[in-house]
Amino acid sequence: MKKSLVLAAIVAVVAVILYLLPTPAPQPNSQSNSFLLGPVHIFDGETVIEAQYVEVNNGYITQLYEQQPNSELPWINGENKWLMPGLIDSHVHAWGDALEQQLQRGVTTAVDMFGSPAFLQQRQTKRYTTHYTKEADLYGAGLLMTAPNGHGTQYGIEISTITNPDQAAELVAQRIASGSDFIKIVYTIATANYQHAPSITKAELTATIAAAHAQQKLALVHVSDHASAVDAVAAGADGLVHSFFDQRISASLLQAMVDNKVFVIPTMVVYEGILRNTINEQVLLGNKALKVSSAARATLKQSFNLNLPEEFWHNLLWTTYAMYEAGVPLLAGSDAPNPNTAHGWSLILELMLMAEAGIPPSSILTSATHNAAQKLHLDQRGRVALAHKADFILLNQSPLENLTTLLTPAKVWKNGFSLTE
Amino acid sequence: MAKLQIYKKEAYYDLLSLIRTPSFFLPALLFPLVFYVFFGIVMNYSGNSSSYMLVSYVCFGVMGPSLFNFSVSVASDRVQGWLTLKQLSPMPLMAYVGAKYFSSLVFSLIIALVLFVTAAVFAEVRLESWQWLSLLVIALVGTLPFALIGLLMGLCFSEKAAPAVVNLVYLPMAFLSGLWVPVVYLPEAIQFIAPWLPAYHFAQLSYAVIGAQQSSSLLGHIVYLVVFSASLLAVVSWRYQRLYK
Repeated sequence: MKKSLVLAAIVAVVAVILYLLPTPAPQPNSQSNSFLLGPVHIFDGETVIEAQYVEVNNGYITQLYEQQPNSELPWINGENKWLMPGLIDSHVHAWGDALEQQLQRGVTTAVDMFGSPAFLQQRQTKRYTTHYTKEADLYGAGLLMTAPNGHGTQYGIEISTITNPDQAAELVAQRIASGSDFIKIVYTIATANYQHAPSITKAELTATIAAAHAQQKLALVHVSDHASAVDAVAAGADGLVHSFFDQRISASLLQAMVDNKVFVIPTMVVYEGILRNTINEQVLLGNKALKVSSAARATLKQSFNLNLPEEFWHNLLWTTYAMYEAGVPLLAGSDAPNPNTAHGWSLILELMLMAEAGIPPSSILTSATHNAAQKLHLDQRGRVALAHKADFILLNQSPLENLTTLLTPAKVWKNGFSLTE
Repeated sequence: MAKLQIYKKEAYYDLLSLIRTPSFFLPALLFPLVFYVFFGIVMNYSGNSSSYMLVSYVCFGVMGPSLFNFSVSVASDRVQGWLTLKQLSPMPLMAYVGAKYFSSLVFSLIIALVLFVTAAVFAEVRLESWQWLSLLVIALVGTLPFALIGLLMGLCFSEKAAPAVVNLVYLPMAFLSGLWVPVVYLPEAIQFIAPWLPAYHFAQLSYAVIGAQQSSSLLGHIVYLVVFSASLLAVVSWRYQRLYK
């Protein structure tokens, strides 16, 4: 008798522990992604517009008003705060709870630049719905194109590699069949004199880009030096997923980028960890008021330790500004969770680094919203405009005057559902 | 009815003997906890996915009692003649094996719950109720292949050799299966080895609960674990026949 009491008590303790384990914030009811929000100042992804009220129905923006309209919908007082489109991180590697971490920081869409096709496939249809979700929407490259033992093969995801230009069409078709929204290619020029993984040849690069274009997909190229960028642009790349810092951009490369309408995702924040390594401490880790999770701290504190010349950092800033000035579209991307980065947080640091390079605030904000959506063909997002998803962030101050306000958004909406409440 | 009583009694006394052996349960409980705190929370290698690290270390932790309890105590029962005595008694042999498995499960349960609470408090892990529950169930059911590995070692090695051998199996297997550092961060050769190890498949099933498994098919992992357990069971019974018949 006594024994069975003890047993019952133990079972009860186990049940209570399981019951008390913390669960994520509960889902709001399905009615709540229709509302009227205002008055707010609206940065629509490109510019500040006249409208002050946004009407949202079932997670989509259905009307914008300058004056408060009569409406049946629940009204959310915007208190004259600043509303802008949810951020888009154009360069991440997402697995596990990455997309939840992104959304918590106001990143409502993330673009994976190489990851598990299964992870991507599971999330592809969700992009076109406005159901409640805790995750940012995901677009992705799926598997990348690289040489045997090349960059990208070291992460444990099994990848078919290219050894001959004739294979390009088949390998690209395989990737598209497994869900790739665009094709990402890793390329380093044969004459590069720094240590790097084996790379595909220029002929293979050209053939792969042509194969992607034949299937109406964008071809994005990973480069990390100037000479490789020259080849990638000449081969017809639509965009570069990193900038470079070994030298300042040449006038001829800049001109080629403008002529070919090539966009660039500079990922300065991941380079910052290699070249300077101060911004995380300065903005995130040193600011006790920010709730940076212990897991995020762990990757923010990692660094590459390559001991490169200080000049390289100035080259990167110079090149980024030169691209902006010449009219090369810039897309903000963090390359999280690589060393020196954390999902969500690092995109905002990337924007601050763009400001350090001298780019004006409205162009910086556009790089993380409208530019990303337009250049990467991400439908229904990136703008506060009709028929776009109600993916918003509400900010206490004008982000055009103070980017740091992005670190602590007052509210985030995803598919019209408020993240807090 | 009387038979059930034997099973219950044997399970109770086996558990009691473990509880009275601090040199077993203290390391068994503290080892996974300390490892989790060091490598899962303080030095997090998962690209800041705290739930991923929790799942890894739960898998790592719950394997321990099954491996150790079976290998070390079966070896010592066998070498000291206790097992022979048990066979001469009217008690069914399955009561002996079942009792060992039961007490291993109790310790696995405690380890899993301790890690859950640690993760919830210190690593801000938040999971749905069904995820917590499924993780616990998979963690407990999934210890079976490791209990069989332990049993085989208990039947093969002396009581002095068994603790050393079991560590030689446990720690490298955990590492090679990506339970300390995620498989994707390990060298390529190791990534090739991982799919041959039961701990890898056990872990993949657990990762599936948080949507972090490597491949989309779970069936392969289940089939591997069932086939692995069945073959090990065959080897164990062959070894037992050779020893005692």
